[in-house]
Amino acid sequence: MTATSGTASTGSATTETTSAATADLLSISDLRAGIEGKEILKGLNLSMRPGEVHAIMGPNGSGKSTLSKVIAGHPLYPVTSGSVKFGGEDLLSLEPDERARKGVFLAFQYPQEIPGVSIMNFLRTALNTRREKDMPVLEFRKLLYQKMEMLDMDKSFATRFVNEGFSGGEKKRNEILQMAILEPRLSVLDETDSGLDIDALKIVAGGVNRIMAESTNKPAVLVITHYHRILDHLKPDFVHVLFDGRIIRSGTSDLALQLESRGYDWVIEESGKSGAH
Amino acid sequence: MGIVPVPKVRIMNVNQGEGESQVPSKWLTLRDVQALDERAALGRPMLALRQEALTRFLSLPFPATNHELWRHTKTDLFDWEGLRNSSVVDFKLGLTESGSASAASTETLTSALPEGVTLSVDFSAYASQLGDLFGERALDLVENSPAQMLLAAASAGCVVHVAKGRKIKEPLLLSQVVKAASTSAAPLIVVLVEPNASVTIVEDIELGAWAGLYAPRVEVVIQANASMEFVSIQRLSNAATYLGRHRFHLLRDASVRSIHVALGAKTARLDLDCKLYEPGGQADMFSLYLGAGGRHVDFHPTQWHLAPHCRSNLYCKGALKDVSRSVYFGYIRVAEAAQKTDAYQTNRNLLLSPDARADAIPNLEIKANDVKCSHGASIGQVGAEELFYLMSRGLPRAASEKLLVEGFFADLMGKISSQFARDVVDRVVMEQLYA
Repeated sequence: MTATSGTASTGSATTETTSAATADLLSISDLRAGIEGKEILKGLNLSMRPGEVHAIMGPNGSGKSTLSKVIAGHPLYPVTSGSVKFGGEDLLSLEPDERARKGVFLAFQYPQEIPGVSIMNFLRTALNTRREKDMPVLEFRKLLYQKMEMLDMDKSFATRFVNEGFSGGEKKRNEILQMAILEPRLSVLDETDSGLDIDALKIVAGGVNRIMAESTNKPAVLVITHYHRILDHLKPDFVHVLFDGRIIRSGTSDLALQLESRGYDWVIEESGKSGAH
Repeated sequence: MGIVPVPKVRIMNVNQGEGESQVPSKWLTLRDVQALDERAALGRPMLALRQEALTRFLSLPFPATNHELWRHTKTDLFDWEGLRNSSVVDFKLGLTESGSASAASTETLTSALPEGVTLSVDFSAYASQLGDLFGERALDLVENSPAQMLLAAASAGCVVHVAKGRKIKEPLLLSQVVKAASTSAAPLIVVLVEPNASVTIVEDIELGAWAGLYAPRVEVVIQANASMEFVSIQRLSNAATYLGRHRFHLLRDASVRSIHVALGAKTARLDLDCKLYEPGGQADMFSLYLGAGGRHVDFHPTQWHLAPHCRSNLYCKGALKDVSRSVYFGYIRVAEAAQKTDAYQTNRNLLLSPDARADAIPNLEIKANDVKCSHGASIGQVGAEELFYLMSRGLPRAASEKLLVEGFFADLMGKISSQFARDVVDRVVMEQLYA
């Protein structure tokens, strides 16, 4: 298809040449979703482009975790209306594993323990689902050790069972290790900073930055967080405030600093609690 | 003096009189027993043993379907009458080829056995030991009547004898082949491990498309300070039935490590007894069973602590799919004299389909007051959160489930030291679950 766009809605000088209607990697429109009959997301809108870092902040109960689970496709969080497009294609009709193979990655807030399955075995299997031909074991092991070193993880973790007996910080680091191996196009970090001390936080954030710099597919990152701390080390291009299931304000990283010093109340008051964006 | 002491304390079960039925006298007659004895040709002492067993069998009531031990696996699932025509079994014992699953075929077994190990089909030299092993008059209970019948009807037999002090490093494969195109086989296998000896024996019960009743009775005697590892893989065809009685008899400071894997037959029942007669005995028993299709698998392990200062641990896991069913009926029995007993039993079941079913019935009968005993059983499904976690990394649902099942069995697989056995189990489990 040929280029058509003449409107420079983003102020960019370049014209879009993709056949997709938008350059957005992720496009969420009027999303309503909940759990067990209770609506939690009440018309959420969000757009992300390749290579961008977006932060979503909000008080407890605002729907942060629900958003990440809906993007990943958790069966207990049905979508009642709205759309989510990834790379121009509908995401909601895809199973969780299909979404993952398309390049969606969720770093869980509470990663599961998988007894009896080693990290090496698990990650090689996961990586091979995205490849035409399986990666040879030796080549994979080299890749794994390289990424583990980047994250300051001891090699012995490779043969340990996934998350079994791991401390909270180790589990979070293991999530970022998976991100490094699988090279997703969109990573959702669901409160990855919770339970981490400052050193672990720096390693995790540093890892994400390096993944973004070294990856060839311009990955976008959606950082879901309650606190500002991680954003000191993982600089967001855009910051959104989530309240009562809607994004009520968007801004740049300055907004995050304001939230840190003033809290959420002023934003909620200023938006009149209506949330329309 | 025989090799197995008569227990000073009797473990008696109060036979309440229910769950019995009359034995149809046509099932097994003296004539049948004589014919079987002639065919099996196990030596002179056997006939007297058989006759005694027959007498006891005919005098005991046979367990009816409401008997506690047969409630979940009805006795009519097995063709008892067919045992009159049991076939001879061909035994071979040799070193396994490492890593090769085809080592099960008898042609590839090396014929030379390590020094100190003998395989014989003549029980004559073991007459007194056998008398002790099968004597157990104190335990003439209804639940033993099937065992008496199996002894009377034994259609083949062999003795594996490991001489004093011999430590055999390489695992030995005991192959069993049913000769004739028959409908049943009832082998009697005795393993005698003399003091200070050690050996690993692997049996892989694989009889191709054979559709009969395989009813082995295995008696392993581990004498003072000896140790034995026993790996038993049962993978009969889905048309066959399996009825096994395995018993370990441990003397002073003896130890046993066993792995029983049940992967075949449409109905499989294994009674596994470990009897610790003297102090210092140690038993680590592991078991894995798989239900696929309509299989019914029944496992009855009992740890008998008859002496003080013994330790036993039974760890058993099963995975069930389709409409298969498992029954686990475990017992720890501690005699009054068995102080300082350490005894544990664990059963974990994983249900992989909505129609699969597992029953776990652990029991404790403890008559000593200074012991550590515990048992645990669980029945669960593949965790939804674990499944979602794996799928969110790109693994399709079936591959995710398969990985979780591999993880479920990982600790048991780690207990199988024989590479040959591990390869077989690995391959067959995955074939049956994810073919």
